Amino acid sequence: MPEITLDATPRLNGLYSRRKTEVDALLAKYPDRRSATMPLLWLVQEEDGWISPESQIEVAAIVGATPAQVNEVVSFYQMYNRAPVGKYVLGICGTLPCALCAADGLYEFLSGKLGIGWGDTTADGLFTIQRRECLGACSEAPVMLVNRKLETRLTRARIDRIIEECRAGQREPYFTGHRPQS
Amino acid sequence: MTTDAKTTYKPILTDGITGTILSGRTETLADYRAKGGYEGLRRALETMTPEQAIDMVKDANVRGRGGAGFPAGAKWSFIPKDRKKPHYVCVNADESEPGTFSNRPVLEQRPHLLIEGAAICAYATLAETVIIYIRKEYYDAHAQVRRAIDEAYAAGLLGRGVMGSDFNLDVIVQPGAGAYICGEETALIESLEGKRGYPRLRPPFPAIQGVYMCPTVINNVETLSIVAEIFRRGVEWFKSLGTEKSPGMTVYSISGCVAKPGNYELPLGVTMRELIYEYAGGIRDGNKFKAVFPGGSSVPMLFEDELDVVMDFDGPRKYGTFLGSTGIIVMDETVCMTWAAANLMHFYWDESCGQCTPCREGTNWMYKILKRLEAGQGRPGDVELLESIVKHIVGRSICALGEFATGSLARTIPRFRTEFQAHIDQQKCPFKKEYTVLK
Repeated sequence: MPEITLDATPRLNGLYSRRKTEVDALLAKYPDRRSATMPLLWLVQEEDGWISPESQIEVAAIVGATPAQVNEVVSFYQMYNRAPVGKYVLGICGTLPCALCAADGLYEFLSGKLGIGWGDTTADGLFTIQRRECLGACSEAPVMLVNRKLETRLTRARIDRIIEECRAGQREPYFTGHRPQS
Repeated sequence: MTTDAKTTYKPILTDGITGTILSGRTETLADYRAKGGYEGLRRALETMTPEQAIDMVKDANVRGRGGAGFPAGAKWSFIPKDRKKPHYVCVNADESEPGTFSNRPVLEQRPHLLIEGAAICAYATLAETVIIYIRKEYYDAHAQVRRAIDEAYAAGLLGRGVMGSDFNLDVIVQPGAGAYICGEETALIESLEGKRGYPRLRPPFPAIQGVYMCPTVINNVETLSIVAEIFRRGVEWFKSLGTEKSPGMTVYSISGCVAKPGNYELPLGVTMRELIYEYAGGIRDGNKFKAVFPGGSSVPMLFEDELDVVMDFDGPRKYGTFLGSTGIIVMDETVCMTWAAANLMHFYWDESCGQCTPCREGTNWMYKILKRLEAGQGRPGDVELLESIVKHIVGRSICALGEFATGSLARTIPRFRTEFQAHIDQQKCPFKKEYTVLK
């Protein structure tokens, strides 16, 4: 595998210097390095919660693509956040099977409770509401993803509890921040 | 289906899976081997040539469970018999069709069943790499499949010299990032090459130029799980289930306005009426049935007088619709068809990759019209305009998504024309829509 050399410009995200072992292992799996683009973007998002322009430049350098090619990917896939998000990302399923089981009401309730709309983040930086399409859990409707956890058969009471748990810091945050490589 | 077959059938693919789709417990390698797990792969490696393995899948007439019903054996036989380039097997675990949730429990709770089926497919098609593309929303599935792969490597079921043979196999798990279109096989290929999920023009087909322009087989999770069972239990067993042209079983996902939504694994050939009234407990709240999507939201609906349709690969075709993903979405009399179509059109508008005009613009136009009908701002001629757009999309897009977007309208407008028209005449939606209120 060709050596990866990254220019030491201040515009890089620093992913490679922090997590070299992990990134190298990922690259080694693929016959073509560019296939690591999406997994690397997920690494970035797990650290930062979103994909900054700096991290796009860095991922491009790692996989041997241009920043524009990586930006094409980031802007195509809905789960990559192109702006910072809250500590808890609430991904409400809005598609028909959930909509037949009060998904619209779920959004209205949550939006009223938190005072924000689709794609917004609360002023305290805790919550972001996102619309997800069918989450493949239709028999348990209505559902939403709270960060990486699927919450099912939601009611007003259940949502109140989930929000309380988040506010009390009892749930895993959406992103970890930068940590030195373990 | 005969009453006998119904009462005696015990789930195979979803064997041991808990009632709800959410993970109770995941089958470990030891659990799976206690059920005869990986004996099908051993049989292939020790007693068959790759060619014979393909013949076995052909004999069983396994039709793809991902939506198109294409015979898996034929698909595998298109792969070149030499290895001028590396060959690949891709597992389509991007399950994103609205109303479809039958792959999720297999991924989360029986990952070894899928890995065994994929390994058999790789052996038969001379591939040494399997790539399992799982939608990112399935976080638990990612974790469980990765765990199962680690177990399989440690036990010598993957890696160099699988089960002591000279067959080598690596398995990679690849994440999506929330794009429905990546369930389309050529979009999936583009995506795992690190690009936007734009479907490719065919030919060339993936069997000749797939991942990295190399020969590639792409199969759905359920299809490969079925293959693993056939290599363990035999072709005769498989063909003893289902109907003549649609042998075997499938997992029907039933959602919407029914009393007992869920996954129901049954031999192919049960009727829609049986699925709704005998398995899913009938319509909820004592309401009357109105309409149903038989195979995900991308296929035209079926109506009251069509409920005796046989739910195998050929039955729904008689009504101009399809078995599709066997994601059955039931709607009762209180559901507004315009509202349902508007909801789904948001989905297709959102998920259209934007590559070709009929789909990109067509979904946008249809979404705008349906939204204004629901908002009480419908204009005279809107219903006819919708029909005209439907006609101009079908058959004119690179992939099937354009046509899929018309599933909620194609048969529905002619059947419920007065209901659509009422939105214009009354300048409001005439339905109460109590199902939108959260408890």
